Amino acid sequence: MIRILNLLIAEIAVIIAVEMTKSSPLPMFVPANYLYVLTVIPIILLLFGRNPFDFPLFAVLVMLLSSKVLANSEIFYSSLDAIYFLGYKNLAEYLETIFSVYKSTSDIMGLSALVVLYSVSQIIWVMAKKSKDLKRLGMNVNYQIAVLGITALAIYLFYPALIAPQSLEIPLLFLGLIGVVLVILAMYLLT
Amino acid sequence: MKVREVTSALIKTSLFLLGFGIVTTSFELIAVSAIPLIFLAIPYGISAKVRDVRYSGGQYVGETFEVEIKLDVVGFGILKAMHKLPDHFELIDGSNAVAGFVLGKSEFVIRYRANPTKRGVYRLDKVVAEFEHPFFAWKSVKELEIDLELEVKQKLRRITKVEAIRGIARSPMPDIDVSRIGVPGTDFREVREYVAGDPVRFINWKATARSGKLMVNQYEVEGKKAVWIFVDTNAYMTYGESIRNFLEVAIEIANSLAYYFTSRGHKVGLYVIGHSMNLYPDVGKRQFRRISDKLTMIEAGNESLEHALENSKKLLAIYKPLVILITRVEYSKPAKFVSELIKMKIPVQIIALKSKMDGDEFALRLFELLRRSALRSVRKARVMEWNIEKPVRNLIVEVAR
Repeated sequence: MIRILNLLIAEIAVIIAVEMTKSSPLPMFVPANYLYVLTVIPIILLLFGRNPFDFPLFAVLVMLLSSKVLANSEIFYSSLDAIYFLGYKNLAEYLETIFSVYKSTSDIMGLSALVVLYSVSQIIWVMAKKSKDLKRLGMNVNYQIAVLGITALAIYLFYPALIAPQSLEIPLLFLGLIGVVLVILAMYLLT
Repeated sequence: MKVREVTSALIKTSLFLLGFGIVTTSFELIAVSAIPLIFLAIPYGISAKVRDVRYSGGQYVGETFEVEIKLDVVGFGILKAMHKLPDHFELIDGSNAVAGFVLGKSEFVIRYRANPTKRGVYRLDKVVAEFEHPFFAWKSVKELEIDLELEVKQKLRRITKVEAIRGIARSPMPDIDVSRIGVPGTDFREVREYVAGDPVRFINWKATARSGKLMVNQYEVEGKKAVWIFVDTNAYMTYGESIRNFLEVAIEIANSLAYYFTSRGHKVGLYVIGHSMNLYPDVGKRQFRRISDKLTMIEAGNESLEHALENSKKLLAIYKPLVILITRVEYSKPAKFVSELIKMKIPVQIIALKSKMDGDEFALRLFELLRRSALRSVRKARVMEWNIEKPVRNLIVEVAR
């Protein structure tokens, strides 16, 4: 039952990602409806006894959403400049016209939903693995799922609003420092 | 530090998003990279204490031991609590572990029934409590102390029927023999030379005058003959299952014999071969309890029969007891032990334990030959072979005849 819930989460994540992609520059290259093929992946993964929302699928979905992210990326535009400088003037101009349209749009809600769903699926997958042992000890994981659902919803609803650039007013340098500290902390925890 | 599966997955996700965000200079990606970490940062904390512990039974091997431990728990998270049991306890009902989701105040009850399968003193004074993050991200372990110590003894095989045969001594059993040491009675035994410590009133003045040496009357002492039980606890005695092996049966026999003889007024001593542990002969229930307590604590040791004899030789010479040796003759090879005792005019009874052995047929026959040879070498002693699979009660009846 918990695994089915995880499958459901994976399917919702795929649908959200594909729907968000429709309003991004990507459909200019690949028809968005073709991307619904991705909904088959979680089912196949589950049939093979694997987590239906595994990391490669998550990475693919993030990539799909990041096409809009690229529209706001300085690195992307400097790459276009490089292409332009190397002589591919038409290609650089073509890409610039496609992406620049999405320059002022933000897709943080879609990304947040995706990351929240992926985090929940990881927790649920471990829960599913442990539920048998816990049941033997007289524990039901239903309460935990409820708490997880409430927590996920709260994060999804409040976090994007909290970190919106206009409401945050934290200097980017400071944000960068936080990022570096987080990387060091993560490296320590993972080693 | 070992990172748990959820923690690792969420941190990796966060790193991926952060890295991708830095590469693409995307504020959105960097911002959402903190989301997995928020799940990890959900605070948790549980406080647990033992409110009540009740237990009953389990005083003898095989006797059901019932426990109920109540825990008062406050906090948020997952609690797994386990009452640690030694390997020799067989769970027959309930569970010695519980788990549950804690939100606020709640009560956890560990309730189970178990059978102790081996004698010993067990300290069951720890309840291991694992406090876990609601999403399995982190956990901490704490040991809660409880007051529970259990002494498990071998069940005493009380003898219900004993055929007491008088007449020509068929066995060296001491039921009708008298003690060498004890309170002198009124039955005259002999006149002998005075030794320091003899009471003055026992001096035979006529015999002294006749022989020119100080002579005293020797009277039969009251009380029955002493019995000295030698239990072999060397490593080869542990062959078999942990519940019923040679050592456990030897201890069971020793315990039952000690009870049998002490309840009939004999002085009973104990020597644990393997630990050089000597308990001087004495009478009564207290002596039985002492022997029983010693036997409860015994584990396998290492000592030769010769060393054991050397350790107890002086006392054996004084008491001249019946020596009962419980061993595996094929390993202990008690020929020298027996011949030394026979030289000292001390009767010896050997209870030679045997069991069904597994293995190659040729090896088994060879083993049996060796055992037979060891038994032949001790024919001066009374030997009783005993299969450890049979109930001990029958052996006691036979020995006591």
